[in-house]
Amino acid sequence: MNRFFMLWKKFGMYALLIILAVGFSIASPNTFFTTTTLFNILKQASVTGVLSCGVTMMLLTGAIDLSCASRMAIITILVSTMMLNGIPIPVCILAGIAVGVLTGVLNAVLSELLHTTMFVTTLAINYVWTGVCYLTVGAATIYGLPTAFGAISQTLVFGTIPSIIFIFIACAVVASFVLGKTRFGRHVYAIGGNREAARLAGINVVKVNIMTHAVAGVFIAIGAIILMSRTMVATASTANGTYSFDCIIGCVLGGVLLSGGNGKMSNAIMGILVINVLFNGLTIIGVNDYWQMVVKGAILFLAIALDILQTRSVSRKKSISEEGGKNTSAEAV
Amino acid sequence: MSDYILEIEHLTKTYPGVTALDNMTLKVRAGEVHAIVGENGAGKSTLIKSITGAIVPDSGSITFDGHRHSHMTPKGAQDIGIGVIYQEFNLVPGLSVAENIFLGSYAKERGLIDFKYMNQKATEAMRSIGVQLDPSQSVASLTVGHQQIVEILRSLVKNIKLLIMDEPTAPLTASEVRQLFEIIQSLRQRGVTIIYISHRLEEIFALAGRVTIMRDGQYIKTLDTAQTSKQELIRYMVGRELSNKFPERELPLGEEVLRVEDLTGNGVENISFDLHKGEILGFAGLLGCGRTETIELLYGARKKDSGKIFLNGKEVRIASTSEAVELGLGLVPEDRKRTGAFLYSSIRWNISIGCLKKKLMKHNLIVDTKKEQALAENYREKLRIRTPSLDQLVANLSGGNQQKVVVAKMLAMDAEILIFDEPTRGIDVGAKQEIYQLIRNLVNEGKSVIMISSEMEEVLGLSDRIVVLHEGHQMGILERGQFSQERVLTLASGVRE
Repeated sequence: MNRFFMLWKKFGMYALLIILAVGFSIASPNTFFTTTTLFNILKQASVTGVLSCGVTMMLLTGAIDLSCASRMAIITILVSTMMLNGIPIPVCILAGIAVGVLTGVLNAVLSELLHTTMFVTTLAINYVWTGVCYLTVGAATIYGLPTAFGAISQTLVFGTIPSIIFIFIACAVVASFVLGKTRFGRHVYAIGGNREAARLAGINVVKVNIMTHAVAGVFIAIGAIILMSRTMVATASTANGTYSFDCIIGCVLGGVLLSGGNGKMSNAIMGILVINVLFNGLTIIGVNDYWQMVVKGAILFLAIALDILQTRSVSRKKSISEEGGKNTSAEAV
Repeated sequence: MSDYILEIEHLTKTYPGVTALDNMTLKVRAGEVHAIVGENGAGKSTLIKSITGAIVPDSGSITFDGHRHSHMTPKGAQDIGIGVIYQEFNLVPGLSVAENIFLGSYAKERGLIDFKYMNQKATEAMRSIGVQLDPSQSVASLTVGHQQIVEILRSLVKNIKLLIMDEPTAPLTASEVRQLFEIIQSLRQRGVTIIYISHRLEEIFALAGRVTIMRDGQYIKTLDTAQTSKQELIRYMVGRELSNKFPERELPLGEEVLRVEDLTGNGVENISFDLHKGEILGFAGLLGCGRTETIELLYGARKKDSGKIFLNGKEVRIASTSEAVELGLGLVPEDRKRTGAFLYSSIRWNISIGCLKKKLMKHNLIVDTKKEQALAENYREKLRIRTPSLDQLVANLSGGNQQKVVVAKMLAMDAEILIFDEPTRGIDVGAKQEIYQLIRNLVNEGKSVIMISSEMEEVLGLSDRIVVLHEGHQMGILERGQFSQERVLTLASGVRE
């Protein structure tokens, strides 16, 4: 069993991806296995993919952020309004990123001050930002954004590949570098794996936690901006999107533990790709949307079950080999 | 029928590597208050758990009320009238006093709970032991003392014959203790037999008729409290052969590196001591005496109310663990699984996590994994961490090896003052010896060590001096020449010499 999980962790996502690709190619030989489909899938995966770079970091600290969608809405509304007022695009983008960072910091600071979980804090905050979005623009759709802004995601590189895919890849590379190579990345894993042990090892856990949500905020802002650059509109209804959950499903499927401290960026990205291939394929072979929802729920459930079994298989093995030690320590108490 | 309500004969319980109960005998007379005393780890908890059915002993018998049992079950013990009050309460905070008292056996009227009847019954039970609580009040809003009374009432309504109390006064205030004593007296008048476990010897003399002393899982002696003294009890509680060999000091002590003056807060008061270069300073005391709490203040893990800390003669401010680490303090925490190790990360990762900034950064940006590997490899050899690979998850290691990883993590942080909180808890004998040797090697290298331990042998064998605490107060500091189990235990029991 343990061996299975080890293999699953390393290669599971790649195997799934291949199985799905082969399956859909057989089911729909003329449409699925084409470069157009490939780019379509990557294009669609880009927004959740970029968001997941941030979501993975937060999950690694043990934080489930439910406020992604509303924060994205705030950012799109702000950036689009600024652009329509003639402010240079780079300035608008930087402002959007700043909002992403600040809203992330706010979430973390609130959680630290009140000693609540991020789940609870962001559940509440999500309503606040959603309300703020509708208060500012109502049900209106903001459109007429500069074409140069659209070019950010829609330019075809080498004549075929949409630039949004490169943005996605760049974000993924940066995020895995930060998590895998830097001290900050190690500390992210540390506070998610065992916050008290991290604190006793002299790590400033509050600072690391706040920084994590600040960095994650950058990715959420980039996600929001490329979403808007693709659709060329901004609406408050973005806040009602399922971005938070879609990202969590992909990351958990990719082996990021919901309890924090364990998981890899690359696998999380693979998880996102698997989800996108799956739903793209289901659409191509004509499965209706509502059934797709059912499938999505089932996948999340499966991913969480795997997550739990995995943790348990390690701890069960442990408790057998350690029974003696455990009992003696109980006696000493 | 004999006049003993409980007779325990030849009870033995072993865990791998440890004999928790060794041919234990105990005879408790019907209607008496019988105290049990012994050091930490003497086997008191295992004995209680055997009587209440929480564990199954390997051999021996438990005769209760004339019936002989080879072992108990939790339900069976309840049914024949054995109740127990543990230190941790088993109450449902959101439910009322009456609901908690009758939990699991609610009076029902046509399928609905009969609250009126239940409240009335609860009030009756309270009156019978002379307490007054509102039966409909939520348990969460009660004081600790009152919550304990609810626990006692819960046992009482089940018509218990024997009530076992494990350190019942530990969480109580002085006036609550008085009320508890009154309740115990009224229980006794109703014919309930009480087994009373406490490390507060004065309580034992105030309450109990007889007292049984345990040591190393064995029965030592049963005495009438009227014919004994605290000193005699302590003499029986110790008297253990020191079997482990402890490595001897090789170098003379150096200059003072740490001085603590009147450290107060976090449940301790006015703790003062000093530590010299190359010294092992032991901290002894019974459970809950404030050893760990003192260390938490020193290490910046909890906020202190007052007191001063001097490092190498200079006063320092330690308001957080990062500041403590910065100043060269290192801690191996008490509970390695909860606060020491990152169980689901690799050994290498664990060893390096505290010292990344100090010595493992390349261009101050990325972690130098080559250096990291070398560092971890170095500690694997030095501490003899037995593992096929440094990529192994710490969760997969044995207790002793896990502890070595936690120690390596601290050493890698280049601490000069090393604090070990229960360094050998829950690890096997061989690994213990290795940890002792390791601590000795560290002071030989010029480090200074503070060691908290509940194992008397360890404290006596390794320490140069011992600070003894009792309920948050410092009872004294013993010099190596003055060490004896008896002296430490006397001070730890709160008896001034």
